[in-house]
Amino acid sequence: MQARRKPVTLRIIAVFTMLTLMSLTFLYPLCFLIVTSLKDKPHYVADQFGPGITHWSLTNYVTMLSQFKIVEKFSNTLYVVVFSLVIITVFAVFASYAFAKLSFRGSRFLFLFLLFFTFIPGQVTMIPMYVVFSGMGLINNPWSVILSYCSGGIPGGILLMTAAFRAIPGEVIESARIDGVSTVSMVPRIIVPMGRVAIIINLIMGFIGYWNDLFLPLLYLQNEKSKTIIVALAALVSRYSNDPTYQMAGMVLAILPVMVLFLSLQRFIIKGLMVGAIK
Amino acid sequence: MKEHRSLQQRKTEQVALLLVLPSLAFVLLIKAYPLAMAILNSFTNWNGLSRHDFVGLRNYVTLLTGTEFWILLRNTLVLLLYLPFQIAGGLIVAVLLYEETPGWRFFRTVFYLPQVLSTVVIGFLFTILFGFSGPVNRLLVQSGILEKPVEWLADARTSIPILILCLVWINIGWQSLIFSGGLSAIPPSVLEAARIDGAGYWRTLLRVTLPMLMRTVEYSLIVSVIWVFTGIFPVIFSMTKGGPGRSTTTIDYMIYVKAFVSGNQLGMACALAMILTVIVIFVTRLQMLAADKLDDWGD
Repeated sequence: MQARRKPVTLRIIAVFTMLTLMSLTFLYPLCFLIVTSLKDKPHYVADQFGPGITHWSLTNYVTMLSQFKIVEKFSNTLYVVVFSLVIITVFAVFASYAFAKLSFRGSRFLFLFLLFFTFIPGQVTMIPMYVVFSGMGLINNPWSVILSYCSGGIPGGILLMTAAFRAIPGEVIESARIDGVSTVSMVPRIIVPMGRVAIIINLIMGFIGYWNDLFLPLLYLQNEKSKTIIVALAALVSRYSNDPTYQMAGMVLAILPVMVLFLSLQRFIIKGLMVGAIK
Repeated sequence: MKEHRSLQQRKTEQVALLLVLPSLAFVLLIKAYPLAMAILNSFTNWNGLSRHDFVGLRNYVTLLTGTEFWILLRNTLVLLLYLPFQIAGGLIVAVLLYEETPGWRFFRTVFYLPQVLSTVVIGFLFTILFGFSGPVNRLLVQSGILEKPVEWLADARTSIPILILCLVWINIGWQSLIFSGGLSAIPPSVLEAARIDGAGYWRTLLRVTLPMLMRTVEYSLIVSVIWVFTGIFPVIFSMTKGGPGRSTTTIDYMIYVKAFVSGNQLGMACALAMILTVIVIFVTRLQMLAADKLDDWGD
């Protein structure tokens, strides 16, 4: 027994060392990003690699708050993300419940019809929708982006949630029905509590995806007042192309909310992704 | 009783349709309608303003017989070269994580981080790292490997490898997670049986584990190829803007350029988008067929 333990330990050390080295290639660029954002340009030019802790200051961040109106960008982004997610979740939950647990004529056809549109690239629909939205005066209005996210997020959500809701045992629903729960109120009483894992995963992934999205907000939200954080960041980076420290402060702020969300919910997210990946 | 039942059933059907209807309306109005419009407009010379005439297949003929489209397709295909690195890297990481050494959860989080970060931010970060006065140049000059700094992203010979490096960096964590899912689905009894039969670590990995991960590889290939064709816009936008010249312009980036940046070629952009859709559906189909073949060989 003693003899067998030794090679295992060696192996663990080898694996641990390899993982450490590999993870450094991921951690170093991120540390570089954060440290640089705390320097000012002269110190960065003089010494790019040193931590330069003594010179750290929050000047870049203060400028970001005062001149760049970062709070406005955050609230624009949050507005788009929250309304998109609320609409997607409500609509997709009810539809998925119907597809998973109620039998009705044409359900198979309608399900496949909705799924078909998850295959259509956003590049196809964005041009006609741009014309529609500008006709409705919705360019520079967050609802152009929200409606577009919903049109993609609803079929995607239905795909995920229908699979999850199918796993809810029929007996639970049947006994609730005997207790007098109507078809519609089955959703808040049974479906949402029992299918919450899929719903929450869909919410989290949606939050990350929409917060980080560039494409649609870049097209539809062009004026300074309506820009989301990533679009504003793109403008900031090209305007201050000669000052990496300032650019990087903007980049840190742009990723901060999603980082916090991910790090606090990571076990849940990773478990959810793995379950989703096998299916 | 029977009458009552069917009445009940009819009522349930109506409720079900009502529950599906709002989602259906969204998709019809904001997906199906614009899809139809995109198809129609791909046959026009629409420029967003005055010109909007039916020109038949002219856009498609122009695209498919000209050189530009094939350059765009080649650029996208070249970027797909990142896939072997993603698969190999993801497999290595997954196999290492499978050992569950101390801190493996921390490592898993670190590898997955780029998936959570905005691709645009990652692109900008790489642009700064490989910038003319950026840290990579400085390191290489200081250590004497380079005589003078290089404009990495302004030369196609270096910008494409850097784009590929960036794609690998973004996706290794995702790939390893997918593989971890595949690994955990392999019954321990199978690995145990291989061990009892006298197979060593490497033999088990190559002969037992890897073949059982083929489904996982297939799934990741489909998802990744579609991503490169339709979702690579933020990487190109933040790193090269399609340049120098057209050397890193992909199909999806070109659709954006044609429609919104230069010349309002909306009809042409719609035609290009339709070709992209056909490619995506074709690639998916092709990969599924190839994967079925692979499975047959496996038996």
